[in-house]
Amino acid sequence: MWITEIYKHDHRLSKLSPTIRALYWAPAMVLTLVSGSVYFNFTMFLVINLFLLYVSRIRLSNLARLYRIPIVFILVGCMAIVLEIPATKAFVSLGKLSIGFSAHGIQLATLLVSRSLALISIMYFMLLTNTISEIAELMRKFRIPALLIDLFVITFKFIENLRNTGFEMHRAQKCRLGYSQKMKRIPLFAGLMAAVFHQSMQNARQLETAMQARCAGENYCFLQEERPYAISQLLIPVGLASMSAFLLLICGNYGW
Amino acid sequence: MVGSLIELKAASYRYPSGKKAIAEVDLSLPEGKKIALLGANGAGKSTLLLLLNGIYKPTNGELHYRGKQYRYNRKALQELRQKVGIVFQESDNQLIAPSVYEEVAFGLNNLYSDKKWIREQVEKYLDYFDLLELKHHSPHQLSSGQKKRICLASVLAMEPELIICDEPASNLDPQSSRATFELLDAQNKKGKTLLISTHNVNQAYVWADLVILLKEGAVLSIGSPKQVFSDAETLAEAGLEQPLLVKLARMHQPGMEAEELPENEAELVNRLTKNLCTDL
Repeated sequence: MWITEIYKHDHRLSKLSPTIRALYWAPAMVLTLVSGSVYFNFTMFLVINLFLLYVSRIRLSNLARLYRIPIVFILVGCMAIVLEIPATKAFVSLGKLSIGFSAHGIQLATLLVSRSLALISIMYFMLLTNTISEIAELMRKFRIPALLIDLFVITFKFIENLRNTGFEMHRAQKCRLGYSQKMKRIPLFAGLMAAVFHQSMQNARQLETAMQARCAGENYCFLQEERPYAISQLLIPVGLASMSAFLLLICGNYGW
Repeated sequence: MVGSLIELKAASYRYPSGKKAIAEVDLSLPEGKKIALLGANGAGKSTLLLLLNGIYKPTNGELHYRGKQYRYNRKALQELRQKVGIVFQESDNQLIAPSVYEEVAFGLNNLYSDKKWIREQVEKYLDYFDLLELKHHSPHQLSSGQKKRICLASVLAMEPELIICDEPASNLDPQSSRATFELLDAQNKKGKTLLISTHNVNQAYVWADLVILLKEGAVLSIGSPKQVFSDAETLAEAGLEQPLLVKLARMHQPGMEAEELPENEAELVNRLTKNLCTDL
Protein backbone atom coordinates (compact mmCIF):
# COMPACT_ATOMS: atom_id res chain seq x y z
CA MET A 1 0.00 0.00 0.00
CA TRP A 2 1.48 3.32 -1.08
CA ILE A 3 0.38 6.80 -0.19
CA THR A 4 0.09 7.86 -3.83
CA GLU A 5 -2.33 4.98 -4.43
CA ILE A 6 -4.82 6.15 -1.81
CA TYR A 7 -4.25 9.92 -1.98
CA LYS A 8 -7.55 11.68 -2.70
CA HIS A 9 -7.18 14.91 -4.66
CA ASP A 10 -10.55 16.10 -3.35
CA HIS A 11 -9.69 15.85 0.36
CA ARG A 12 -11.44 18.30 2.68
CA LEU A 13 -8.46 20.65 2.97
CA SER A 14 -7.80 20.83 -0.78
CA LYS A 15 -9.25 24.33 -1.08
CA LEU A 16 -6.76 25.68 1.47
CA SER A 17 -3.25 26.79 0.65
CA PRO A 18 -0.43 24.43 1.74
CA THR A 19 0.68 27.06 4.30
CA ILE A 20 -2.73 27.05 6.03
CA ARG A 21 -2.76 23.26 5.80
CA ALA A 22 0.59 23.21 7.57
CA LEU A 23 -1.08 24.89 10.55
CA TYR A 24 -3.11 21.72 11.02
CA TRP A 25 -0.10 19.43 11.40
CA ALA A 26 2.97 21.54 12.27
CA PRO A 27 1.89 22.56 15.84
CA ALA A 28 0.88 18.96 16.56
CA MET A 29 4.31 17.79 15.41
CA VAL A 30 6.15 20.33 17.59
CA LEU A 31 4.02 19.52 20.66
CA THR A 32 4.55 15.78 20.20
CA LEU A 33 8.29 16.24 19.82
CA VAL A 34 8.56 18.21 23.08
CA SER A 35 6.04 16.09 24.98
CA GLY A 36 7.22 13.50 27.47
CA SER A 37 3.70 12.32 28.23
CA VAL A 38 2.50 8.93 27.05
CA TYR A 39 -1.15 9.94 27.51
CA PHE A 40 -0.71 13.08 25.42
CA ASN A 41 1.03 11.13 22.65
CA PHE A 42 -1.63 8.43 22.49
CA THR A 43 -4.38 11.08 22.54
CA MET A 44 -2.67 12.87 19.64
CA PHE A 45 -2.35 9.58 17.76
CA LEU A 46 -6.05 8.87 18.19
CA VAL A 47 -7.26 12.39 17.42
CA ILE A 48 -4.99 12.84 14.38
CA ASN A 49 -6.12 9.54 12.89
CA LEU A 50 -9.80 10.30 13.41
CA PHE A 51 -9.30 13.75 11.90
CA LEU A 52 -7.28 12.22 9.05
CA LEU A 53 -10.06 9.76 8.21
CA TYR A 54 -12.52 12.65 8.03
CA VAL A 55 -10.26 15.04 6.11
CA SER A 56 -8.54 12.71 3.65
CA ARG A 57 -11.67 10.65 2.81
CA ILE A 58 -9.63 7.43 2.84
CA ARG A 59 -10.96 4.15 4.24
CA LEU A 60 -10.02 2.90 7.71
CA SER A 61 -8.70 -0.36 6.23
CA ASN A 62 -6.33 1.57 3.94
CA LEU A 63 -5.10 3.72 6.80
CA ALA A 64 -4.57 0.61 8.95
CA ARG A 65 -2.52 -0.96 6.16
CA LEU A 66 -0.26 2.10 6.07
CA TYR A 67 0.72 1.44 9.70
CA ARG A 68 1.78 -2.19 9.16
CA ILE A 69 5.41 -1.58 8.22
CA PRO A 70 6.21 1.24 10.72
CA ILE A 71 4.59 -0.70 13.59
CA VAL A 72 6.71 -3.78 12.84
CA PHE A 73 9.87 -1.64 12.84
CA ILE A 74 8.92 0.14 16.08
CA LEU A 75 8.06 -3.07 17.91
CA VAL A 76 11.22 -4.83 16.81
CA GLY A 77 13.23 -1.78 17.92
CA CYS A 78 11.43 -1.70 21.28
CA MET A 79 12.26 -5.33 22.01
CA ALA A 80 15.90 -4.36 22.41
CA ILE A 81 14.90 -1.73 25.01
CA VAL A 82 12.40 -3.85 26.90
CA LEU A 83 14.42 -7.07 27.23
CA GLU A 84 16.82 -7.41 30.12
CA ILE A 85 19.63 -9.97 30.09
CA PRO A 86 20.39 -11.16 32.77
CA ALA A 87 17.00 -10.24 34.21
CA THR A 88 16.03 -9.70 37.84
CA LYS A 89 12.56 -11.15 37.10
CA ALA A 90 13.15 -13.68 34.36
CA PHE A 91 10.32 -15.22 32.34
CA VAL A 92 12.58 -17.62 30.50
CA SER A 93 16.01 -19.09 31.26
CA LEU A 94 18.40 -20.52 28.74
CA GLY A 95 20.91 -22.40 30.86
CA LYS A 96 22.40 -19.80 33.15
CA LEU A 97 21.08 -16.96 31.02
CA SER A 98 17.89 -15.40 32.36
CA ILE A 99 15.77 -13.28 30.05
CA GLY A 100 13.08 -10.88 31.28
CA PHE A 101 11.58 -7.45 30.96
CA SER A 102 13.06 -4.43 32.69
CA ALA A 103 10.62 -2.03 34.36
CA HIS A 104 12.57 1.01 33.17
CA GLY A 105 12.79 -0.47 29.66
CA ILE A 106 9.01 -0.95 29.52
CA GLN A 107 8.49 2.65 30.58
CA LEU A 108 10.93 3.92 27.98
CA ALA A 109 9.52 1.68 25.24
CA THR A 110 5.96 2.87 25.96
CA LEU A 111 7.06 6.46 25.59
CA LEU A 112 8.94 5.59 22.40
CA VAL A 113 5.99 3.72 20.91
CA SER A 114 3.52 6.47 21.80
CA ARG A 115 5.71 9.25 20.45
CA SER A 116 6.61 7.34 17.28
CA LEU A 117 2.99 6.47 16.53
CA ALA A 118 1.88 10.06 17.11
CA LEU A 119 4.62 11.39 14.84
CA ILE A 120 3.90 8.82 12.14
CA SER A 121 0.21 9.72 12.20
CA ILE A 122 1.14 13.41 11.80
CA MET A 123 3.48 12.51 8.94
CA TYR A 124 0.67 10.57 7.24
CA PHE A 125 -1.64 13.53 7.79
CA MET A 126 0.87 15.75 6.02
CA LEU A 127 1.38 13.31 3.12
CA LEU A 128 -2.31 12.56 2.64
CA THR A 129 -3.32 16.22 2.52
CA ASN A 130 -0.43 17.55 0.37
CA THR A 131 1.08 16.54 -2.95
CA ILE A 132 4.84 16.19 -3.17
CA SER A 133 5.11 19.48 -5.06
CA GLU A 134 3.08 21.27 -2.37
CA ILE A 135 5.44 19.96 0.30
CA ALA A 136 8.39 21.09 -1.82
CA GLU A 137 6.79 24.53 -2.18
CA LEU A 138 6.29 24.70 1.57
CA MET A 139 9.94 23.77 2.10
CA ARG A 140 10.89 26.64 -0.22
CA LYS A 141 8.82 29.04 1.88
CA PHE A 142 10.66 27.85 4.99
CA ARG A 143 13.97 28.72 3.24
CA ILE A 144 15.21 25.14 3.15
CA PRO A 145 18.18 24.98 0.71
CA ALA A 146 17.12 24.29 -2.90
CA LEU A 147 19.57 21.38 -3.13
CA LEU A 148 17.79 19.53 -0.32
CA ILE A 149 14.36 20.21 -1.83
CA ASP A 150 15.48 18.92 -5.23
CA LEU A 151 16.99 15.84 -3.59
CA PHE A 152 13.71 15.26 -1.77
CA VAL A 153 11.67 15.54 -5.00
CA ILE A 154 14.11 13.43 -7.05
CA THR A 155 14.26 10.72 -4.38
CA PHE A 156 10.48 10.58 -4.23
CA LYS A 157 10.19 10.41 -8.02
CA PHE A 158 12.86 7.70 -8.28
CA ILE A 159 11.24 5.54 -5.59
CA GLU A 160 7.92 5.93 -7.38
CA ASN A 161 9.58 4.98 -10.66
CA LEU A 162 11.27 1.93 -9.08
CA ARG A 163 7.98 0.83 -7.54
CA ASN A 164 6.03 1.09 -10.81
CA THR A 165 8.71 -0.69 -12.83
CA GLY A 166 9.17 -3.36 -10.17
CA PHE A 167 5.44 -4.00 -9.95
CA GLU A 168 5.06 -4.41 -13.72
CA MET A 169 8.09 -6.67 -14.07
CA HIS A 170 7.07 -8.81 -11.10
CA ARG A 171 3.63 -9.27 -12.66
CA ALA A 172 5.26 -10.24 -15.99
CA GLN A 173 7.41 -12.83 -14.17
CA LYS A 174 4.39 -14.29 -12.40
CA CYS A 175 2.46 -14.48 -15.68
CA ARG A 176 5.21 -16.77 -16.97
CA LEU A 177 4.98 -19.00 -13.87
CA GLY A 178 7.87 -17.31 -12.12
CA TYR A 179 8.16 -17.94 -8.36
CA SER A 180 6.23 -21.22 -8.70
CA GLN A 181 9.29 -23.26 -7.68
CA LYS A 182 10.77 -22.47 -4.29
CA MET A 183 14.37 -23.14 -5.37
CA LYS A 184 14.18 -20.59 -8.17
CA ARG A 185 12.69 -17.75 -6.14
CA ILE A 186 15.94 -16.14 -5.01
CA PRO A 187 17.67 -16.07 -8.44
CA LEU A 188 14.43 -14.82 -10.00
CA PHE A 189 14.15 -12.04 -7.43
CA ALA A 190 17.80 -11.09 -7.99
CA GLY A 191 17.15 -10.96 -11.74
CA LEU A 192 14.09 -8.82 -11.12
CA MET A 193 16.04 -6.34 -9.02
CA ALA A 194 18.76 -5.97 -11.68
CA ALA A 195 16.17 -5.49 -14.45
CA VAL A 196 14.15 -3.03 -12.34
CA PHE A 197 17.19 -0.82 -11.71
CA HIS A 198 18.16 -0.92 -15.38
CA GLN A 199 14.65 -0.08 -16.58
CA SER A 200 14.19 2.60 -13.93
CA MET A 201 17.38 4.32 -15.06
CA GLN A 202 16.05 4.33 -18.62
CA ASN A 203 12.68 5.69 -17.50
CA ALA A 204 14.40 8.38 -15.45
CA ARG A 205 16.48 9.39 -18.50
CA GLN A 206 13.36 9.64 -20.67
CA LEU A 207 11.62 11.74 -18.03
CA GLU A 208 14.66 14.00 -17.87
CA THR A 209 14.58 14.40 -21.68
CA ALA A 210 10.87 15.25 -21.59
CA MET A 211 11.53 17.84 -18.89
CA GLN A 212 14.39 19.38 -20.85
CA ALA A 213 12.12 19.58 -23.90
CA ARG A 214 9.86 21.82 -21.82
CA CYS A 215 12.73 24.09 -20.80
CA ALA A 216 13.27 22.63 -17.30
CA GLY A 217 16.08 24.38 -15.43
CA GLU A 218 18.16 23.28 -12.49
CA ASN A 219 15.32 23.33 -9.97
CA TYR A 220 12.15 21.30 -9.96
CA CYS A 221 9.57 24.07 -9.84
CA PHE A 222 5.87 23.43 -10.08
CA LEU A 223 3.19 26.06 -10.12
CA GLN A 224 0.12 25.28 -8.05
CA GLU A 225 -3.30 26.74 -8.48
CA GLU A 226 -3.76 29.96 -6.54
CA ARG A 227 -5.74 29.47 -3.33
CA PRO A 228 -7.07 32.60 -1.62
CA TYR A 229 -6.16 33.29 2.03
CA ALA A 230 -8.78 34.32 4.60
CA ILE A 231 -8.46 34.98 8.32
CA SER A 232 -11.43 32.67 8.96
CA GLN A 233 -9.35 29.76 7.62
CA LEU A 234 -7.07 30.15 10.62
CA LEU A 235 -9.80 29.62 13.22
CA ILE A 236 -9.95 25.80 13.16
CA PRO A 237 -6.19 25.09 13.07
CA VAL A 238 -5.44 27.71 15.73
CA GLY A 239 -8.27 26.32 17.88
CA LEU A 240 -6.98 22.77 17.52
CA ALA A 241 -3.40 23.83 18.27
CA SER A 242 -4.55 25.71 21.40
CA MET A 243 -6.52 22.70 22.63
CA SER A 244 -3.50 20.42 22.03
CA ALA A 245 -1.21 22.81 23.94
CA PHE A 246 -3.76 22.96 26.78
CA LEU A 247 -3.91 19.15 26.91
CA LEU A 248 -0.13 18.96 27.03
CA LEU A 249 -0.09 21.46 29.92
CA ILE A 250 -2.64 19.35 31.83
CA CYS A 251 -0.64 16.16 31.20
CA GLY A 252 2.54 17.93 32.31
CA ASN A 253 0.86 19.41 35.40
CA TYR A 254 -0.49 16.07 36.64
CA GLY A 255 2.67 14.20 35.68
CA TRP A 256 0.85 11.86 33.25
CA MET B 1 5.31 30.14 -51.72
CA VAL B 2 5.56 28.69 -48.24
CA GLY B 3 8.81 29.41 -46.39
CA SER B 4 10.83 26.92 -44.38
CA LEU B 5 10.32 26.96 -40.65
CA ILE B 6 13.15 24.67 -39.69
CA GLU B 7 15.95 23.12 -41.72
CA LEU B 8 18.59 20.47 -41.15
CA LYS B 9 21.63 20.89 -43.38
CA ALA B 10 23.82 17.79 -43.78
CA ALA B 11 23.00 16.95 -40.18
CA SER B 12 24.37 13.73 -38.70
CA TYR B 13 24.04 12.34 -35.24
CA ARG B 14 25.93 9.57 -33.49
CA TYR B 15 24.97 8.14 -30.11
CA PRO B 16 27.67 8.30 -27.43
CA SER B 17 28.21 4.56 -28.10
CA GLY B 18 29.37 5.52 -31.63
CA LYS B 19 26.33 4.09 -33.41
CA LYS B 20 25.18 6.31 -36.27
CA ALA B 21 21.54 7.34 -35.88
CA ILE B 22 21.17 10.10 -38.47
CA ALA B 23 23.29 10.25 -41.60
CA GLU B 24 23.78 13.60 -43.37
CA VAL B 25 20.14 14.56 -43.54
CA ASP B 26 19.07 17.58 -45.56
CA LEU B 27 15.55 18.41 -44.59
CA SER B 28 13.39 21.49 -44.83
CA LEU B 29 10.00 21.66 -43.10
CA PRO B 30 7.59 24.14 -44.68
CA GLU B 31 5.58 26.38 -42.38
CA GLY B 32 1.91 25.68 -41.70
CA LYS B 33 1.93 22.16 -43.14
CA LYS B 34 1.02 18.76 -41.76
CA ILE B 35 4.07 16.58 -42.14
CA ALA B 36 4.33 12.83 -41.52
CA LEU B 37 7.67 11.15 -40.81
CA LEU B 38 7.59 7.48 -41.65
CA GLY B 39 10.03 4.66 -41.28
CA ALA B 40 10.47 1.20 -39.83
CA ASN B 41 11.54 0.63 -36.21
CA GLY B 42 15.07 1.94 -35.67
CA ALA B 43 14.95 4.17 -38.79
CA GLY B 44 15.91 7.19 -36.68
CA LYS B 45 12.53 8.92 -36.45
CA SER B 46 12.64 9.67 -32.71
CA THR B 47 16.28 10.80 -32.90
CA LEU B 48 15.45 13.17 -35.75
CA LEU B 49 12.61 14.66 -33.70
CA LEU B 50 14.94 15.22 -30.74
CA LEU B 51 17.45 16.94 -33.05
CA LEU B 52 14.73 19.39 -34.10
CA ASN B 53 13.91 20.23 -30.46
CA GLY B 54 17.58 20.79 -29.57
CA ILE B 55 17.73 17.88 -27.11
CA TYR B 56 20.38 16.32 -29.34
CA LYS B 57 23.01 18.44 -31.01
CA PRO B 58 24.04 17.25 -34.50
CA THR B 59 27.54 15.73 -34.43
CA ASN B 60 27.96 17.22 -37.92
CA GLY B 61 25.88 19.68 -39.91
CA GLU B 62 23.63 22.56 -38.97
CA LEU B 63 20.15 23.33 -37.74
CA HIS B 64 18.49 26.49 -39.08
CA TYR B 65 15.37 28.04 -37.59
CA ARG B 66 13.61 30.59 -39.81
CA GLY B 67 16.74 30.85 -41.92
CA LYS B 68 19.11 31.54 -39.01
CA GLN B 69 21.76 29.05 -37.98
CA TYR B 70 20.99 27.73 -34.56
CA ARG B 71 23.46 28.11 -31.70
CA TYR B 72 23.34 25.68 -28.82
CA ASN B 73 23.76 28.07 -25.93
CA ARG B 74 21.44 28.17 -22.92
CA LYS B 75 19.32 31.11 -24.07
CA ALA B 76 18.95 29.81 -27.61
CA LEU B 77 17.99 26.36 -26.34
CA GLN B 78 15.20 27.85 -24.21
CA GLU B 79 13.98 29.78 -27.24
CA LEU B 80 14.07 26.75 -29.56
CA ARG B 81 12.29 24.51 -27.08
CA GLN B 82 9.54 27.08 -26.69
CA LYS B 83 9.13 27.31 -30.48
CA VAL B 84 9.43 23.57 -31.12
CA GLY B 85 7.15 21.65 -28.77
CA ILE B 86 7.50 17.89 -28.59
CA VAL B 87 4.93 15.37 -27.37
CA PHE B 88 6.57 12.03 -26.60
CA GLN B 89 5.33 8.60 -27.59
CA GLU B 90 4.91 7.30 -24.04
CA SER B 91 2.82 9.71 -22.01
CA ASP B 92 4.09 8.16 -18.77
CA ASN B 93 7.62 9.20 -19.68
CA GLN B 94 6.51 12.81 -20.04
CA LEU B 95 4.21 13.30 -17.05
CA ILE B 96 6.21 14.59 -14.11
CA ALA B 97 3.92 16.72 -11.95
CA PRO B 98 1.62 15.39 -9.22
CA SER B 99 -1.48 17.11 -10.62
CA VAL B 100 -2.86 17.88 -14.08
CA TYR B 101 -2.80 21.62 -13.33
CA GLU B 102 0.90 21.57 -12.39
CA GLU B 103 1.70 19.40 -15.43
CA VAL B 104 0.14 21.92 -17.84
CA ALA B 105 1.88 24.77 -15.99
CA PHE B 106 5.29 23.01 -16.01
CA GLY B 107 6.75 24.33 -19.28
CA LEU B 108 5.24 27.79 -18.85
CA ASN B 109 6.64 28.05 -15.33
CA ASN B 110 10.10 27.22 -16.67
CA LEU B 111 9.82 29.87 -19.38
CA TYR B 112 8.06 32.83 -17.81
CA SER B 113 7.94 34.59 -14.45
CA ASP B 114 4.53 36.28 -14.63
CA LYS B 115 2.52 33.86 -12.46
CA LYS B 116 -0.80 35.61 -13.16
CA TRP B 117 -0.38 35.24 -16.91
CA ILE B 118 0.78 31.61 -16.53
CA ARG B 119 -2.32 30.77 -14.48
CA GLU B 120 -4.59 32.39 -17.11
CA GLN B 121 -2.82 30.43 -19.83
CA VAL B 122 -3.13 27.15 -17.89
CA GLU B 123 -6.86 27.70 -17.30
CA LYS B 124 -7.32 28.51 -21.00
CA TYR B 125 -5.64 25.29 -22.13
CA LEU B 126 -7.29 23.14 -19.46
CA ASP B 127 -10.61 24.43 -20.73
CA TYR B 128 -9.65 23.94 -24.40
CA PHE B 129 -8.59 20.33 -23.78
CA ASP B 130 -11.62 19.64 -21.59
CA LEU B 131 -9.43 18.96 -18.56
CA LEU B 132 -10.87 21.47 -16.09
CA GLU B 133 -12.66 18.80 -14.07
CA LEU B 134 -9.49 16.74 -13.83
CA LYS B 135 -7.14 19.55 -12.87
CA HIS B 136 -6.55 18.30 -9.31
CA HIS B 137 -6.17 14.64 -10.32
CA SER B 138 -2.86 12.87 -10.52
CA PRO B 139 -2.10 12.48 -14.26
CA HIS B 140 -0.64 9.01 -13.64
CA GLN B 141 -4.02 7.66 -12.55
CA LEU B 142 -5.90 8.69 -15.71
CA SER B 143 -6.64 6.80 -18.94
CA SER B 144 -4.20 6.74 -21.89
CA GLY B 145 -6.42 9.11 -23.90
CA GLN B 146 -6.59 11.59 -21.03
CA LYS B 147 -2.83 11.33 -20.47
CA LYS B 148 -2.21 12.10 -24.14
CA ARG B 149 -4.52 15.14 -23.89
CA ILE B 150 -2.58 16.37 -20.84
CA CYS B 151 0.75 15.94 -22.67
CA LEU B 152 -0.62 17.88 -25.65
CA ALA B 153 -2.05 20.61 -23.40
CA SER B 154 1.21 20.95 -21.53
CA VAL B 155 3.18 21.41 -24.76
CA LEU B 156 0.62 23.56 -26.59
CA ALA B 157 0.29 25.89 -23.60
CA MET B 158 3.85 27.01 -24.42
CA GLU B 159 2.44 28.10 -27.83
CA PRO B 160 5.08 26.50 -30.05
CA GLU B 161 5.23 27.24 -33.78
CA LEU B 162 6.14 23.66 -34.65
CA ILE B 163 4.34 20.84 -32.84
CA ILE B 164 6.14 17.50 -32.96
CA CYS B 165 4.31 14.34 -31.95
CA ASP B 166 6.14 11.05 -31.69
CA GLU B 167 3.57 8.37 -32.57
CA PRO B 168 0.53 10.40 -31.44
CA ALA B 169 -1.85 7.45 -31.74
CA SER B 170 0.27 4.84 -29.94
CA ASN B 171 -1.57 3.03 -27.11
CA LEU B 172 -4.79 4.86 -27.96
CA ASP B 173 -8.14 3.36 -28.90
CA PRO B 174 -9.61 4.54 -32.26
CA GLN B 175 -11.84 7.14 -30.59
CA SER B 176 -9.01 8.68 -28.54
CA SER B 177 -6.76 8.53 -31.58
CA ARG B 178 -9.34 10.41 -33.66
CA ALA B 179 -9.79 12.99 -30.89
CA THR B 180 -6.01 13.52 -30.73
CA PHE B 181 -5.82 14.09 -34.49
CA GLU B 182 -8.78 16.47 -34.34
CA LEU B 183 -6.97 18.52 -31.70
CA LEU B 184 -3.84 18.55 -33.85
CA ASP B 185 -5.79 19.56 -36.96
CA ALA B 186 -7.38 22.44 -35.05
CA GLN B 187 -3.88 23.68 -34.23
CA ASN B 188 -2.87 23.40 -37.88
CA LYS B 189 -5.88 25.54 -38.86
CA LYS B 190 -4.51 28.20 -36.51
CA GLY B 191 -1.32 28.19 -38.58
CA LYS B 192 0.87 25.84 -36.54
CA THR B 193 3.16 23.43 -38.33
CA LEU B 194 2.67 19.79 -37.37
CA LEU B 195 5.21 17.00 -37.61
CA ILE B 196 4.25 13.50 -36.54
CA SER B 197 6.21 10.28 -36.66
CA THR B 198 4.17 7.19 -37.38
CA HIS B 199 4.14 3.66 -38.79
CA ASN B 200 0.54 4.02 -39.84
CA VAL B 201 0.68 4.51 -43.61
CA ASN B 202 -3.13 4.67 -43.90
CA GLN B 203 -3.33 7.52 -41.41
CA ALA B 204 -0.38 9.37 -42.97
CA TYR B 205 -1.83 9.08 -46.49
CA VAL B 206 -5.09 10.84 -45.72
CA TRP B 207 -3.75 13.24 -43.09
CA ALA B 208 -0.42 14.63 -44.26
CA ASP B 209 0.44 17.40 -46.72
CA LEU B 210 4.03 16.20 -46.91
CA VAL B 211 5.52 12.76 -46.26
CA ILE B 212 9.14 12.03 -45.35
CA LEU B 213 10.36 8.45 -45.61
CA LEU B 214 13.32 7.51 -43.46
CA LYS B 215 15.60 4.48 -43.63
CA GLU B 216 18.63 3.85 -41.45
CA GLY B 217 18.89 7.51 -40.50
CA ALA B 218 18.73 8.84 -44.07
CA VAL B 219 15.88 10.39 -46.04
CA LEU B 220 14.75 7.86 -48.61
CA SER B 221 11.94 9.83 -50.16
CA ILE B 222 10.09 13.09 -49.63
CA GLY B 223 7.00 14.48 -51.32
CA SER B 224 3.22 14.62 -51.30
CA PRO B 225 1.44 11.53 -49.93
CA LYS B 226 0.38 10.56 -53.45
CA GLN B 227 3.95 10.77 -54.76
CA VAL B 228 5.54 8.86 -51.88
CA PHE B 229 2.88 6.18 -51.43
CA SER B 230 2.51 5.43 -55.13
CA ASP B 231 6.06 4.04 -55.16
CA ALA B 232 5.67 0.53 -53.74
CA GLU B 233 9.34 -0.36 -54.21
CA THR B 234 10.69 2.55 -52.16
CA LEU B 235 8.11 1.86 -49.47
CA ALA B 236 9.18 -1.79 -49.31
CA GLU B 237 12.80 -0.67 -49.06
CA ALA B 238 11.81 1.43 -46.05
CA GLY B 239 10.08 -1.59 -44.51
CA LEU B 240 6.58 -0.23 -45.11
CA GLU B 241 3.56 -1.12 -47.22
CA GLN B 242 1.34 0.93 -49.48
CA PRO B 243 -1.81 2.34 -47.86
CA LEU B 244 -4.99 0.32 -48.37
CA LEU B 245 -6.54 3.13 -50.44
CA VAL B 246 -3.64 3.06 -52.89
CA LYS B 247 -3.74 -0.73 -53.12
CA LEU B 248 -7.49 -0.75 -53.78
CA ALA B 249 -7.26 2.05 -56.36
CA ARG B 250 -4.45 0.22 -58.18
CA MET B 251 -6.38 -3.08 -58.03
CA HIS B 252 -9.30 -1.32 -59.62
CA GLN B 253 -7.20 0.49 -62.19
CA PRO B 254 -3.67 -0.93 -62.58
CA GLY B 255 -1.07 1.57 -63.67
CA MET B 256 -2.93 4.52 -62.17
CA GLU B 257 -0.63 7.55 -62.01
CA ALA B 258 0.32 9.03 -58.63
CA GLU B 259 -1.64 12.24 -59.22
CA GLU B 260 -4.78 10.26 -60.09
CA LEU B 261 -4.85 8.39 -56.78
CA PRO B 262 -7.89 9.09 -54.56
CA GLU B 263 -7.33 11.43 -51.65
CA ASN B 264 -9.61 9.65 -49.22
CA GLU B 265 -12.10 6.79 -48.80
CA ALA B 266 -15.04 8.91 -49.96
CA GLU B 267 -13.35 9.76 -53.25
CA LEU B 268 -12.51 6.10 -53.93
CA VAL B 269 -16.07 4.99 -53.18
CA ASN B 270 -17.45 7.73 -55.45
CA ARG B 271 -15.21 6.62 -58.30
CA LEU B 272 -16.09 2.95 -57.85
CA THR B 273 -19.83 3.74 -57.70
CA LYS B 274 -19.55 5.94 -60.79
CA ASN B 275 -17.76 3.17 -62.72
CA LEU B 276 -20.30 0.58 -61.57
CA CYS B 277 -23.17 2.79 -62.76
CA THR B 278 -21.46 3.35 -66.13
CA ASP B 279 -20.88 -0.43 -66.55
CA LEU B 280 -24.51 -1.17 -65.80
